[in-house]
Amino acid sequence: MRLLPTLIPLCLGLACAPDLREDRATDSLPQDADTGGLVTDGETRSLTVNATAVDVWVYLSLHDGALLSPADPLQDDTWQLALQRYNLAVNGGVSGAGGVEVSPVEGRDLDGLSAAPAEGWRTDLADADGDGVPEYALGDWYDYDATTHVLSPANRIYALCDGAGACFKLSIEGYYDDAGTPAMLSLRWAPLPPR
Amino acid sequence: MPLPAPLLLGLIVASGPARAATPEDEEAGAELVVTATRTATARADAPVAVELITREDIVASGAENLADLLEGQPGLDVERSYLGAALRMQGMNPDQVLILVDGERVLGAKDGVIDLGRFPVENIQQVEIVKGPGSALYGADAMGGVVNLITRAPDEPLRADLHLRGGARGTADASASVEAKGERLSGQLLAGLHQSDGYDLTPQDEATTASAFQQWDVSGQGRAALGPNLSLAARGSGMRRNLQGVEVSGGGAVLDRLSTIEELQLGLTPRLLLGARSMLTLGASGSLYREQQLVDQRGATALDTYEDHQERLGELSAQLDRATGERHLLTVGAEAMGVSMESPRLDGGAGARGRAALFVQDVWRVPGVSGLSVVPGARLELDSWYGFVPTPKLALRWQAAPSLTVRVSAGTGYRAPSFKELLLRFENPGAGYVVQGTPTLRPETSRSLQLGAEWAASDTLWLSANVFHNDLSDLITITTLKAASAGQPAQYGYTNVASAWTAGLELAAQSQPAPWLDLKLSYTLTESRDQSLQQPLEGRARHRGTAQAGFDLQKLGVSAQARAALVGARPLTGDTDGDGVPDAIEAPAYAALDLRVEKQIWGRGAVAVGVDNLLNAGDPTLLTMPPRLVYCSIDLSHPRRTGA
Repeated sequence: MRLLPTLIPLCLGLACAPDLREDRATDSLPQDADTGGLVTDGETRSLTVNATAVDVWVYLSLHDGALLSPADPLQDDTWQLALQRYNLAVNGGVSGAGGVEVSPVEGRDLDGLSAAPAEGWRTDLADADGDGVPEYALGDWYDYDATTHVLSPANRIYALCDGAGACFKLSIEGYYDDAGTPAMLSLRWAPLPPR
Repeated sequence: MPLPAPLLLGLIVASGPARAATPEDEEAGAELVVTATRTATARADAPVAVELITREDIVASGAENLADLLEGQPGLDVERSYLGAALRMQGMNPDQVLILVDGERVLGAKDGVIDLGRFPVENIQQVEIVKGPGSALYGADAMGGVVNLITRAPDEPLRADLHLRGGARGTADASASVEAKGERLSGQLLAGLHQSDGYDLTPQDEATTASAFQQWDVSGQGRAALGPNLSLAARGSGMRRNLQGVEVSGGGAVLDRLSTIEELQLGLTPRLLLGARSMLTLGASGSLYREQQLVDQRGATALDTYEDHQERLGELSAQLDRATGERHLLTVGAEAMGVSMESPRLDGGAGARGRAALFVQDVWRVPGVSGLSVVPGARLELDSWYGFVPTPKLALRWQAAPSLTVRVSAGTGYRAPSFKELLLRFENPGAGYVVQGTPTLRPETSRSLQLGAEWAASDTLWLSANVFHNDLSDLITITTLKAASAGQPAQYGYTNVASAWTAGLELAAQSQPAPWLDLKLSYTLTESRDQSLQQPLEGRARHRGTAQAGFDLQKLGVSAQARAALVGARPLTGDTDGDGVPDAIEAPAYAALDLRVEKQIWGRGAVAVGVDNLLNAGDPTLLTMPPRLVYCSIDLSHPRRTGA
């Protein structure tokens, strides 16, 4: 290896190609920094949330579709759903003090769900399998293709009720946006009668 | 039959380890190879079989790079993928085959694959292929065999060559060389330019199948006789290769992929005669490899990445060849090597390894048994990651009759865990799955038996057969450390768990039924079994055949060559039903055919037209070989060419 310091100067004309980034203008689109606009269709709302940051949670109020920045998320009950890449937390259990619980409903028929189920309610729980990650109540929202490493929404939607009694039906519509960026989560939800 | 001692010593003196044979050697009438024993040996006398692709073969093939050249060779399997063109032999993986340039290792393996497409053939004098384990002489990674590219050396007092080729898909190749050879000094300079628009077997989507590229390469070498007993050879080469391709991710993102590869190799080889029967060859070499990779997502920047990978290799070696009496040719040597890699994909951003080795080999002409040579050899290698690895080998060559040669060898080989396998730390930004290296990996090992015979049935017919069996242990495979579960992506790592075997039969025939006609046929049967999964190893065709016909109509100044490869069905895995679970699939058999016709012009060169892959074999998923390519070329040389 002592030979290398003497060899390196000899490569000045070769192994010093320009940095590939120098000649490449990068794209810059609003969606890289911002969440897509809220779409309201009657009582049903749709929103694409940029949850691409590895270590930042994005907090969402299902009441009005607002993205929030709570000072203390664990003690804040204004949000119901938090998103970070493929992780979806609810404001309940170990994730927050909002008393949010969810109940899965098999199938993808959001419009056909008119009442909260009677059973199957759960919330975020402490890590049970020793991997350092909580057992999220919405942890089964996606199917994972181990061959292509593509995440796609599982064949289920969710009913979700907060501690104040407000309930919603929630569908995760997709994980990728039109540019193919992962963690651009498309959500669709609407109010449900209290359970 | 072994060479007489004076000639044998002459060959020893004239050539060092893994170096091109000198013209003086060739004038001795022997076709010389160095890879079998690390010492120049007449090919017919080598204790293990050496397949040779000569400069004449290279020119006649029309190939511009090593991938195209080896594709039609008997028993070799060139597999193309996004990693480039990978080489398999005897059913072994690409990272189990050692590729050398003038006996020196090359850098830049990606997922174990050294892209054969990046080696232009313009500076190659001959390619030597030794199948079966070569670790007893060459150490790590020579489990399945060794491919040694011997670069061209000056062989005329003054000469200049020019080669130009143009073809479909933006294919353009140009190379030029000048060389001079004197009593005490000789040298050569060579430069090449190669480019292609790549190809796309799935025009219905944005993704390309093979990247477009532009490549520049320069090389040079010089030799000096510094005294009656001392000579010095120096060589250097540099290459830059730019690639542009498009990939579509599983999530639908369209990604422009750009990369720039730079490579530099330098070497110095002094040789010293020690008395009348010994020669000491020293070597110092260094290599740099750098690859920048830029990914630019269309319509967004979330998946944009830039990575800068750099590898460095420094090697020192000493080898003593000594002829003892009439019956022994002893080779002893030592090597020390340091390799480092800097990559954002490695845990900590960098890795390094040191390696030292001692090797010994004796070519012993057994008294009392006519024509029998026994060649014991062994190498003991110490690697800073996993300690000592001994690799013994025993080879036997018996000239059973003047026309019949029998060779038997038994040996061991091993493959060192790569930096990626040891130190990788990768987290997929979208899916979140993690792949991590395992620093405690052991080397993969193999035990091999090769049994072959060559029979010169007549002056115009030559036949050979070889059977092989390789037992592979401690194979490194990727394993699931933690399966994906609700809300939790999978974690993958590497372990030494798998074992496998490969076995087969290689048959070859060569005939020259008329002075103007040269025919070559080969058939390879390869069986393999992954003993952990209880299924055949992926991608290995059970049946593979090659055929080659060369026509040389000297009166008309016209020559032609047809090369065909017939490859049987190959077992693969892939998710065919969309359930995320790999399914067994079978890639169909295919035939590849290349044609080339050449006409001599003005006595100073030739023009040629050719078609590669005339039958347009290939498909987007199971056989991503280049589609049909029509090209024409012109070669000029001054003074008039005396050979290929």
